[in-house]
Amino acid sequence: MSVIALCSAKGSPGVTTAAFALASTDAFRERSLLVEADPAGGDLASRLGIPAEPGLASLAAAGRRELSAGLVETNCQSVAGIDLVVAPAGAASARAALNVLDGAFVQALKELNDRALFCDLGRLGAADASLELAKAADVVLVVVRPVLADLAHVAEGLSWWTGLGPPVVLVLSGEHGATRRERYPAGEVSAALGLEVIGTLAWDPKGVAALAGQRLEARRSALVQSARSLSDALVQQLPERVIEMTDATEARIIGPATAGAEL
Amino acid sequence: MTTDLERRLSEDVRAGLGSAVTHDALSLLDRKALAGKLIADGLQEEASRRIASGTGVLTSEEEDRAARFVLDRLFMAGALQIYLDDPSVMELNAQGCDEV
Repeated sequence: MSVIALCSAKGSPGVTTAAFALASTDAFRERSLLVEADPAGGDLASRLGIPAEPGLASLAAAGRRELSAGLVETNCQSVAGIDLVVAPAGAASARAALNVLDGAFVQALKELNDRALFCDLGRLGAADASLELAKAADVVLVVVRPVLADLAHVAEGLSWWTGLGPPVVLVLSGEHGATRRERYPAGEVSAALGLEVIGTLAWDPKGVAALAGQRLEARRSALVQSARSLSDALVQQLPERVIEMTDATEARIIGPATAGAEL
Repeated sequence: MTTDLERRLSEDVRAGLGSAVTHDALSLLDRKALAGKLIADGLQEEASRRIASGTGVLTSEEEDRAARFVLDRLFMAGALQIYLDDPSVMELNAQGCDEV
């Protein structure tokens, strides 16, 4: 069981896309469970064209008195081979569902053995309902656009982020809205913030659509290729026990022969 | 005082039991079990409604109270049942039926 929390410090730099792309990589896909625990409401259902239920809201209603790993599994939907717990689109209901699930959610998720759990926490702040998930993670990936305004937000809250407990690393977002000149290179970001940058996720809307639609061209998309090298770096971040668990599939993770494996 | 939820649950259970009873004579135990199931379903629907509208769900105690209210009314002595079950209550005097 490994828990990977993904969140942003400001705006929407593509956290949901990063979570979905990483969950789709060969290193994780077969055991991925993507939980959309964004208190601002979910995007996945509308983006993927699937209903909002079963999902986080139905899980909260069914598990309001007692939550179990089995109940989490029964409230999943599967898209492109990835199990998803999607959040309702509305912020009020997403927040209500997360509040109902609360601490029991972390416990139930931890019972899901042999799973790689990707938690899309949206923008993370001190009062957020998804904070417990961040604290329980093996690693927290902060997705950030490498531009001054966004990096300043991370820098400002640096002690808060590192105070969460789990190791915090950065994923640079190639999200549009910034010119090349405005973007800082990974080395400079890492040196300035004192946090490791494990990779950059390409800005590639066509890749997102291809990936969600399980189309063949997805494997050649910039998004999937950047997610693949990101997943290699991510595996290195996970605790030893998790890496041991994936030893059997190591060839699939790093082997060049399967570098373009089927989607 | 009957809440909206209790009224709704009572109606659900009456409707559910009614359709089951006309087809086949269920034993009291079966009827109680069916009522319990209908109440659990109704409470889950209520929780879904509350989450969808962004309000908090009822506490376990509030749910239990509503369930008990409906069961007592249908199978036991209604509003008096809670006193009949209370060992510290020695005597019950009913002086009319207006507020029962």
